[in-house]
Amino acid sequence: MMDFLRQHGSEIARLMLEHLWLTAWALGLAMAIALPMGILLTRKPGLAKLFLGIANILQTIPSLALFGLLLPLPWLGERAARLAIVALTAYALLPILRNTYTAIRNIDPALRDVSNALGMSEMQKLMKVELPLSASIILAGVRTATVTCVGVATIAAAIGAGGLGELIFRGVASVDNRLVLAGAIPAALLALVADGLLGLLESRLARNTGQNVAR
Amino acid sequence: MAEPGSVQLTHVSLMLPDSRLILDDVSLDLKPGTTTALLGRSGSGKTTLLRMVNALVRPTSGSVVVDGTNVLGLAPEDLRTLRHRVGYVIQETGLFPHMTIGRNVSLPLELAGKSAAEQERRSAELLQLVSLNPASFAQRHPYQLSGGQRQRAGLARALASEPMLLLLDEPFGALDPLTRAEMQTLLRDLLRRVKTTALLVTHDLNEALYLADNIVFMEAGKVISRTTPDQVRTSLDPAIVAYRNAAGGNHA
Repeated sequence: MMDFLRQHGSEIARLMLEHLWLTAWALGLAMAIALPMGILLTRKPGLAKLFLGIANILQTIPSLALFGLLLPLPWLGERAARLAIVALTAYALLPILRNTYTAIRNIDPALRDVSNALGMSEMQKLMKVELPLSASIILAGVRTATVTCVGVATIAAAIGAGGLGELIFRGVASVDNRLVLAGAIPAALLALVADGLLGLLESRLARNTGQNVAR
Repeated sequence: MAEPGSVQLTHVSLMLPDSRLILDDVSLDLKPGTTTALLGRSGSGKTTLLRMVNALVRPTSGSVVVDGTNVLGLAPEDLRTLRHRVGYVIQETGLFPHMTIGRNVSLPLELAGKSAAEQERRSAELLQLVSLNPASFAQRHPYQLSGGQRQRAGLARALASEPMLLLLDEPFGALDPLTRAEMQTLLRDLLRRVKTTALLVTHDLNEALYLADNIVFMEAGKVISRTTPDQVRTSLDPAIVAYRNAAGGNHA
């Protein structure tokens, strides 16, 4: 056991960093796209069905199949990590987009009235009322997206994008359970820790807004 | 020249897209400094009429003039400026749950770009005005307050910008009878002190008799009677008699 860790320790650490790198990029991109788009859709609800539908389709495609579909594309197919990040971003879009849109849409109409009656501008409504009140639900979407990304990133190793999945695939190919676990355990821990931390932040935000006090 | 705080709604009607007529040719004239109560059953259009004054609802025909300005013709920015000078209090949910009571109360000043120091000073003043001790309430959130305390804070917020006009939409409808009576006394005091024009929607005749200078009865989108408390107390109009009987007791 100790021998194994001595031998593979630095590799596990390197792949874990790679895994985090892929996930962080994808989440960053997904938030940069889905947050403004979610806000925009609340202003143009007619478009919401279309865009949520597209995001939903993206998320429904099995991950390995999505990697396969993107592989032949010119710029994307050149580098595996690039492709993996794009695919992961596609997965992360839906939960963030859907939660941003629904959270803002579901704000008590009476509070909307009061915002208007107080003479707030569109920007003031967004910054002072809508986003603060939606923060915990939007964060819940980010949390779902994070867990999905950590999971799907494991599969990205199949196309050579690196990450902890590499150990798992190699272990399976060489029938070495220690190698499989060396990939699987850190990947599982990563997902659990990210979920736990974001969950904590989420309930703190919810408390600050006076929502879900009972929870 | 109109005096500050005057309101004229002239021949306003509101027809919904499904051609339901919510308001049918209603006119309302509020003299500066007076309090007018709108009374009627649920669905009689009284809340809609009130919401037309600050253009939360726009009539399909007729004109709305506040303080000499045609509200319906205002550019969005000018409408916001006008709304800064109109206090608005609703039943229950008017406070923002994610803001402290202090910030809720001084929000009109924050929106008007006043300094943090002035916001804090004014919010303490306003909380005192509605008998909430700033030291113990300013830092709390709305969900930590009782219904009556929340409604006090709501009133304080409506007064923050020294409004020329107060719109009160069943402000005490959700309160228990004792708290309600307390709030009515407080509001009467405040209205006397700040001398602003006020429009109060209620279905409590006693509340209207106690607080208002003028009482307007509405039914099915129309004004059916314009009176004063004294006239209501002696009126033989069957609609008003029915109200009096239903209300039972009487504020002298």
